[in-house]
Amino acid sequence: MSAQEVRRELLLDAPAARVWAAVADPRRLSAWFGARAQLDLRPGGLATFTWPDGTVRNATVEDVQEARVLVLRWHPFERDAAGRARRRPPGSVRLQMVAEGPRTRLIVVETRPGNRPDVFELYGPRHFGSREPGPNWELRFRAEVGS
Amino acid sequence: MSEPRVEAVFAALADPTRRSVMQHISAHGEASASELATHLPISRQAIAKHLTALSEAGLVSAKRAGRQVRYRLTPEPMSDAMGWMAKVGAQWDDRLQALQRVIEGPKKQGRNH
Repeated sequence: MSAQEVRRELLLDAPAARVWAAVADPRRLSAWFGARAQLDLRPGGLATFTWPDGTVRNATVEDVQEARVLVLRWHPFERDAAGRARRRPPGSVRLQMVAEGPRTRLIVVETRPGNRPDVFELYGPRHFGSREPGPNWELRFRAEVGS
Repeated sequence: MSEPRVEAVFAALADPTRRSVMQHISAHGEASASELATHLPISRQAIAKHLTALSEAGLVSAKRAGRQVRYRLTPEPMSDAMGWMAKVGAQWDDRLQALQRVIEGPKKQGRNH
C-alpha cells in the first residue's frame, strides 16, 4: 500500500455551482471547514487555513476546475500560535463535484503520502537545514518545487 | 512516528495473509510460527516471511521462550497510522455535516413552513 487515504461522499441537494461557491469563496469555506480560510484560487495559488487555536497551515492549489474539482496540497509544516513550525505530512485534499440531476455529489479524498518521496526530506535539508525553516520558507520552497 | 515507519505499517497491513496472522496473534495473545502454520493455510516458511515483515513494521515483537520464538502484537505503530485516518476522517465528517447545513439549511427550513 502506497499511501493512506480518507474518502467521504456526500449527496447535496443543490446544483454544483452552489456547492462550488461554498468551497471556492473563502468566507463560505470558512463557515464549514473548521478554520478561517484564505484562498488564491488558481493553480499554484496559496491557501491559508487558521484554526481557532491559532495554528496556521498553508497549502498550494494544485488543480482548479470550476464547479468540478479543487485539489490542495498541504505544505509540510504548520505553525502554532507562537509561530513555532511543526512538521506535517504534505498530503493532498481533492474535492470533486459530480452533478446528479438537480443534486451534487461531493467526493472528498484526503491522502497522506506513502511511496511518494517526502518533499521535506528532499528539499528541507538543502534549503532549511533544520526543522525550523525560518520566515518565508514557503516562497523558497515553492520556488524550488516549481509549484 | 516517522513517515517511513507509517509506510511500512500500511505495506504490512495491505496483505490479507498478514492481517490474518495478526488476527490470530491478537485472538491468542501470542503465538509461535509453528502454531500459526497449523492454524493458517500457508507454509511455515511463508509464515516466517510474514512475521519478519510485521516485525520490521513494528507491528509484532518477538520474544524467545525456551526453544520457541513467540510473537505478540505491538499496537503502537498501528494506532498512529490508524489514528491519522480516524482523526482526518472525523474532521471531514464534521466538515461535511457543517457544509450540508450551510448549503441545505435554509432550504430545509423553507420546506417545513
